[in-house]
Amino acid sequence: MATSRDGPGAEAFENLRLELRRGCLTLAVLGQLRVEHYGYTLRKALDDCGLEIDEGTLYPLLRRLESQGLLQSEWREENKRKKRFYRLTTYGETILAQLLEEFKHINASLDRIVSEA
Amino acid sequence: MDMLDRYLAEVQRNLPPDHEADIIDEIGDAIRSQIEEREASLGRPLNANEEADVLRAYGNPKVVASRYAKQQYLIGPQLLPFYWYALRLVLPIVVGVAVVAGAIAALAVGRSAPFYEALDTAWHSVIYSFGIITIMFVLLERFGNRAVLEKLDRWDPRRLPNPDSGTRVPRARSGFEFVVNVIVMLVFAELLRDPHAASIPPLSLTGAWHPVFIANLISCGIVAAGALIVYIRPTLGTVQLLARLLGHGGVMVGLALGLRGGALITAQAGTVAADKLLLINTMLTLSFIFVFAAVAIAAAVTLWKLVRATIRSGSSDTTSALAL
Repeated sequence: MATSRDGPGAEAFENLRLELRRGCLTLAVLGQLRVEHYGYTLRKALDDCGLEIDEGTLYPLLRRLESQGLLQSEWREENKRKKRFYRLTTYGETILAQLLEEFKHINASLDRIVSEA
Repeated sequence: MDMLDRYLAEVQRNLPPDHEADIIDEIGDAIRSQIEEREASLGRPLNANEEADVLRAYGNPKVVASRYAKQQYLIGPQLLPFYWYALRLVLPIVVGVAVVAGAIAALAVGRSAPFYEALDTAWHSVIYSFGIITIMFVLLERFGNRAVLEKLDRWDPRRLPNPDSGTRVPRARSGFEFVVNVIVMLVFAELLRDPHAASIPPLSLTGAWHPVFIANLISCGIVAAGALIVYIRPTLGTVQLLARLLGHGGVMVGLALGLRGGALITAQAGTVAADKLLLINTMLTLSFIFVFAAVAIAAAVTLWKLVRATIRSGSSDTTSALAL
């Protein structure tokens, strides 16, 4: 099956790619928020690292992570506009460390699987 | 009010009640940042079409708002299989009952209009039942707790049916058997209420038919009940066989009692010659004997199938059947 973005398998590849990305986005957002960001700069920072995310996905994710106690936020004025700044909580840092460990474990397993195939 | 304000107002209208203002402020800031970025790259303010493009790219206000809802599913993936199962179980019965009622009504009045009215009723019943079942599962998704979901999902691997046992009955077959037997029950019930309904003047049925009608009514009821049980639980094929066996037995008992009851047909005095009446009664008696023999053979075949199914599936199906 062609993996080209324009080939016959494009739709199937796109769906699977989105599934794969969905699992990594939370980790990427938590990782990026070791440093304080507001929504727009967070999206830019992720984009600069090669992980695009649209605001429609990012902001609800930030809300959800905050409701789970992983993030804290506050409104502050910057350039005469109110912006909501996010950063990791202590609990969020613990969870991030655990998730990074889990991610390394998954990565190592995948390397073994792919090299054995 | 400019386009962005109208967009944010539309999003806010569809937001869940918690933290509306907060969310709107954040979305507004995000969009304004995007607009500023584009204006900086163009070196001029955006025109209306360009601003509309930014808002279109952000998303439909209803969709944007829905992403902040706590519950994202009307009926979630855990409940969906049970929802489909409930629909597949209930809707054919609703249609079957409506069609049966229409058929009976049409037969009773001798016109087809009630049947077509029944089809219309069946359609509305399907919509109504679909709505009720959907609402129930939506409420279960919204308010149901883990204990309820665990109860729905309870199953025991030890009670799974043996696929080689041959006792699984397709729902179409058991559903058809249920509907047919209900129709026949209604016919016999009507005959019990008014025996003259089957009379062809000047001939009429004698009281000897009474036990025949009662026995057939009960037999059809038993078979219908068995078919309904198997419709709900298709792996209980032995239940259906058992019900059929009892039904055959009931019919045979009814026929035997009818034969013992004397003449089956009578006529108004002076309307039919005695030898003709005797001939008719003799023919009917022979028919009863023939039907009795046919039902006895059918009962033997059913008994053989029941024994074979029981041997194949071991005791588990029979135990399940008897446990009912």
